[in-house]
Amino acid sequence: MSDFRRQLIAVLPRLHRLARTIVRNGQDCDDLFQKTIQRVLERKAQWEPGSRLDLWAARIMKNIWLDEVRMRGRWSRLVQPIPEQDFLSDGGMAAEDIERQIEGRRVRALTEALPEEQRLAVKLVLLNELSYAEAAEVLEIPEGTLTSRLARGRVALTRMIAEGRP
Amino acid sequence: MNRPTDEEIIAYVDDALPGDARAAFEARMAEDPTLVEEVARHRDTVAHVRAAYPEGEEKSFDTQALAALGLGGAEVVDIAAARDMRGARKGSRLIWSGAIAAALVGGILIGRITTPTADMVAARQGQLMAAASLEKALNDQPDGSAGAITIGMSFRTNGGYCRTFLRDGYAGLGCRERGGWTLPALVKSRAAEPHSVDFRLAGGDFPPALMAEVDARIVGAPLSSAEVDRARRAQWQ
Repeated sequence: MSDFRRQLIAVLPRLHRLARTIVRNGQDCDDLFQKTIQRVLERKAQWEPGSRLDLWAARIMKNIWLDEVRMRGRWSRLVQPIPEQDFLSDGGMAAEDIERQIEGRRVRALTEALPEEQRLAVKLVLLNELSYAEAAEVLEIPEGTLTSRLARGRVALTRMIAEGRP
Repeated sequence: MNRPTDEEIIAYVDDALPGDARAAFEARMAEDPTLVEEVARHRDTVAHVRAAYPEGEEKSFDTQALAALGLGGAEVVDIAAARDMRGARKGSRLIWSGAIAAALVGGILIGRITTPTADMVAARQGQLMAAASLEKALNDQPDGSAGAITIGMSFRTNGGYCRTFLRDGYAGLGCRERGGWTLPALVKSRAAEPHSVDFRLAGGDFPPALMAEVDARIVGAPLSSAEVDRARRAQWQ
């Protein structure tokens, strides 16, 4: 097995997790993941051995996603938000678990509603635990731009999370 | 000393400040209780966001999954062939009702018309029409109702109403004309297959090719559920 393929297989779980982070809440991440692997294989000659394959593949994933976002943007006025489950059943759940679920849903909705550039910065850093340098490399922006988007997103989220509290 | 910027506060919370900057930040916190509170609020946000997205199990990739990704054991991976297979599986094959297709996309030749499911469509005077269960669903079901047929959304056009629907791996558009529902567009799409995540999210996730057809016809915004109900009771006249 080629070195490239072995390395790619080793980072597949990480890339799949990244796809889950990048897609909007609830959407199917497998499609983005598969498209990414397909393009990575098509372009493997462009990868520089010795550089981080996971970050290179992550950039490809990000570009596929942004193309998709631009394409979908055209129909966005026709597309309803992706529904979360419509109802909560107590299913024997304790009241505090239900509250936690409701709060989780609210925080997801707020996070997903951030402007796309802030949403990606916030989710990559908080959920994928990428360092600032890694997140900037994946998003192909200078680190200063990353920290600025990240701060704007986090300040907005902190304000909105506090505002919605009873 | 200037108050730290939002970027610095966030970097402190994320443990991303270099050692000396971190020490200076902590010295500043010792003098400024509002900064301590702000850091606490941001930490709380981090905890909330992480709790809102449970990690779930890490996906593992067995031999079959690797083969499906073109990463099987064989040394030679034929990407073009893999892509063709994928295209065939996932493909958004457009099937048009001839006359309307010609009017819509004049000049572009589109493949032969295939009848997807006999109990769903019928040809009438060269026109593809909804039949039986599909006709009933378009007449009666509210938007977003899932069953054997899922109705997506309904909207006004210049001449009447159209509704999007999903059934058996097809996403389609039904438009009220000639006392029935003509089918100006039917798209074969994985998104419309039962059991796919997209299908469960069907309210929003119709294939782009179909959304383009909606976009070309819609007048105003999609109907509200009350408007759908009124139109339904007026038999979409």
